[in-house]
Amino acid sequence: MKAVGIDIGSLTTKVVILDSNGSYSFDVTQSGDEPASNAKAALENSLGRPELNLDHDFYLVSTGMGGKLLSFAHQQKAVTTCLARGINHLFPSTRTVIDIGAETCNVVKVNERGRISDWVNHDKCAAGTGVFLQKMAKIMRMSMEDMSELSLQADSGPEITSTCAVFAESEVISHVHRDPPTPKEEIIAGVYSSVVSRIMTLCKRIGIERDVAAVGGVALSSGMVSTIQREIGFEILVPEAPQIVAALGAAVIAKESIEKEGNK
Amino acid sequence: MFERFQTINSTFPRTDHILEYKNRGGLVFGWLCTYVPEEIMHAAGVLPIRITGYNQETELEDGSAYLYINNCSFSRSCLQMGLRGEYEFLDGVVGGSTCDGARRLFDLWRNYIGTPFHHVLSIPRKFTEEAHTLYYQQVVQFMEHLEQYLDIEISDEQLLHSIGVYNESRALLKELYELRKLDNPPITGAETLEVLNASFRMPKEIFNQYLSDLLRDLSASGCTRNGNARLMVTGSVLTNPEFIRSIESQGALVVADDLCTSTRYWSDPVLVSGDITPLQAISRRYLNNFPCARMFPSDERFNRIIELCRDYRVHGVVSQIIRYCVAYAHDMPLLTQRLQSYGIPILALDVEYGTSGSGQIQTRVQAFLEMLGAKVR
Repeated sequence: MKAVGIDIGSLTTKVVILDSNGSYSFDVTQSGDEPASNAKAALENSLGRPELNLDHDFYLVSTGMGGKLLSFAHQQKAVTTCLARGINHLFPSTRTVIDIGAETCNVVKVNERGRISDWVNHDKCAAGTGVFLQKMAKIMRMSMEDMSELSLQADSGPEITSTCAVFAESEVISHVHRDPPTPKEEIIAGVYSSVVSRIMTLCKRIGIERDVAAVGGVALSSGMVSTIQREIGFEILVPEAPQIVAALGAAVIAKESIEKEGNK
Repeated sequence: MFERFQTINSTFPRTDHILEYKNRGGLVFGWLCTYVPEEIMHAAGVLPIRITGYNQETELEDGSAYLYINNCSFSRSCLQMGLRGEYEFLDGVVGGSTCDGARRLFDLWRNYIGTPFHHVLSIPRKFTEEAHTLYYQQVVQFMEHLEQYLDIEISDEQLLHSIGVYNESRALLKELYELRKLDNPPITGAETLEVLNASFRMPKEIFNQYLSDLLRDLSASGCTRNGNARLMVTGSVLTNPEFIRSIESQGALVVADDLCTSTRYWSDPVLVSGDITPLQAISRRYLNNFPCARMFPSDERFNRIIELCRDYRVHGVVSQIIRYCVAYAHDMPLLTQRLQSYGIPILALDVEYGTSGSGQIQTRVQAFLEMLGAKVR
């Protein structure tokens, strides 16, 4: 029986299969407009079998915004719980997790057993999340990867004061059209700083305790990670695949459930 | 068992009882805050009902047209109902200067809604003797205004009778709350709020009868409610039971609260004694009642919250604060500290008045319950 964790985010779906020895494989697909059936396809694809025997092949724990949509999941867990368990599996020394996804931002405090001791999530908007950065990349007419690279070339940038994604957009546009225009790398550095300052507000509200790890799709951007480090003042941990940590945590919970049932 | 209460809440403000009261020539007054002494209106033969806003979160076009959006959605929701004529039948409105939201709502109500009688009480924020003297003067002025307006005199006997009716109601509600202390209470938090909502929307005498019936039915039914965690709800004014239902749908049971629509409404009886007049007794009770976050020092409220947590054996507290409800928002860090020192975690939710618990709220509650579950293990 395999332990499977699946995290259905607003943009991407992450599947993690965890072996009994602790090693894991993963797959990331688009959530699309039918997240449940796409998730099922991703699952079948990951397990390398077209037809699954849902009861005997695996133990599935789902999480994320669409986690409730998976009717065949054995358990459904809150994403904060999974983040805590996932990071504990990768970096047990982590006490604070900063998770920046497409549409959410969580800061979770974790104890040595991978349990949450406290958490905060951001308010109800795009500010300080992945879609905000996507929107900015669109205005700057470059890919997220290029934007991340360019941000590393500027030491500082103009302050983007609007926290609202729509207002921030017009601020950025006015920098682009300034005469002479603000250099691109500086605008991007400003955008990154504004996202990080939102995240730092959450961190300060809950209190930062070392070690700190950054996870979620946005942590794939080295520019973002270095901006966080500059702001926080020390090195932070970033997993190789930061976007799958919640799914990994779900798989860890699945594995524990299998073991618990085996012991019965 | 709860149908009668539900009917009242779903038809409010035009409930059968209120319309009947009007048809018999009785006067109906609306009050705006728990610092308005209801017994005085009751003693004057008036039916006091509480003004609340829409039962659910709605677009507040009319409310926001008159009240700037940094007034809480509760005040705007109440105002909108008033502007749309839902409270047309009211013969009077009585407010208190408890917070800016309530006070501005009263001003606009007086200006635009045209309820014939209006009175606002100044309410001190302290519990000192000077504060009691000031509040007592306010209570006297309110009663004199009422007597003059109705051309009647309210006797001590009438006041004592009204105190009796209201104290009976408080005692019955206390009995109901005692049941929530059980390991498996017969009633959910959502059902309790349904009962409480009806309590300030109908004649107290009839409510007392309904509640006695309910208590009898509950003990006869032997029904029990379970949850994987016992929660307390705190924070701003809350009238939508759906909000509590959405918390309970995640597997928890809400067993306690310190809401002004629930525990803070009924918890303290008016203590009558030979040494003071009935009016003095009323005045004492209303200022000394389980405090709102507006009162100072905050420790009075915090101590009682901690007491509730112990009595009801609460695992965690859910705070729901309406945006711009400044009193509660400012007390929040202190309350969090206090609760944490007793090992009680708190989930802080920013809400709008009338919310029934959106997906975002449910996600947070789920995470909170999983955190509580991990702690218990």
